[in-house]
Amino acid sequence: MSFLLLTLSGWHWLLQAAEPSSNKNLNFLFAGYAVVWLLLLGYLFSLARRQKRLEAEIEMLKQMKQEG
Amino acid sequence: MPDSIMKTETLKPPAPAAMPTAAKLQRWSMILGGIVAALMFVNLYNIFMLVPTEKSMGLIQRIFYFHAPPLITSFVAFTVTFVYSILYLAKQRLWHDRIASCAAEVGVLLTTTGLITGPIWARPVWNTWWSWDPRLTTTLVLWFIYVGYLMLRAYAGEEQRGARFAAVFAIVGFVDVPIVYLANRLWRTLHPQPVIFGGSNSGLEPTMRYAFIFSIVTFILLFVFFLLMRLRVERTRLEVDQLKREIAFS
Repeated sequence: MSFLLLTLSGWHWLLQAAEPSSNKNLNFLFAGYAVVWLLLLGYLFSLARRQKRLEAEIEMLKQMKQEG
Repeated sequence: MPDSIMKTETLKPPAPAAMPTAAKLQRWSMILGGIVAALMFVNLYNIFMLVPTEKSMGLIQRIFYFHAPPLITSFVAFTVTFVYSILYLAKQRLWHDRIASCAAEVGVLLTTTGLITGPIWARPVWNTWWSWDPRLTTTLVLWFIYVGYLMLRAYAGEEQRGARFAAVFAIVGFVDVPIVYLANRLWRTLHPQPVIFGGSNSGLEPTMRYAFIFSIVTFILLFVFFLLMRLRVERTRLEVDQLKREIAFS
């Protein structure tokens, strides 16, 4: 999340520093960085979710083994 | 070979000594995650605060530092897949196959980011989202090859046979990596010429070169971090399979 904030603040700084004619391109720049962060963070969350699900399954199987 | 023996071989668990434990993978991924987070802060500072604005393209050129490094890192990822696929075929160790497939998955993610940021950069600069020029087309083919590899892994069915097919597929598919690398050196392309190792007329302003190389190093470490995280998931999955086997045979 901090990276997103830093990207946003960098984008905001560029927006202020830029000439009005280049503002249109800033939207493309913002879109590019936003897509990369969404993909990377999305993958990280998907890995964490998969890990959590497997750990829960291990607990359940261990319980079954003890009972069984 | 009788059916029962074949089934026993298929179900044979991998040797635990040949694999790192999930806890060890977690420890290393946490250490590396901290390093990558710190490097990514510096990387963003370099990109947005340090590097000068390029004269002809203007501010949009700053997308370069998040476009090329993931694609370069995907070459590293696919090289790992290539090497571990050869190792799997040579030694038949399941863990080698898992490293190959996990590296390919992260490689596809990185290629996807490059393939999305490329058109976003191209639209204001080339006035088109996409051009079927050799560099872009071979990169898209590379993405399809490794998506195909992951689909083969997912739908091949029986584990060892699927791993063997996937290993052969990965070795053959790797041929496209040097083709992508050489595409804008061998053919005339709309895509810019290489800025590093590109000959006498190429190069970058020193601050830009520093930021570019810094970004490549950051993305390579990010790849290793994702790979460790993904391998931890795979290691835990093997533990789940092992427990299921124990319950089934008890």
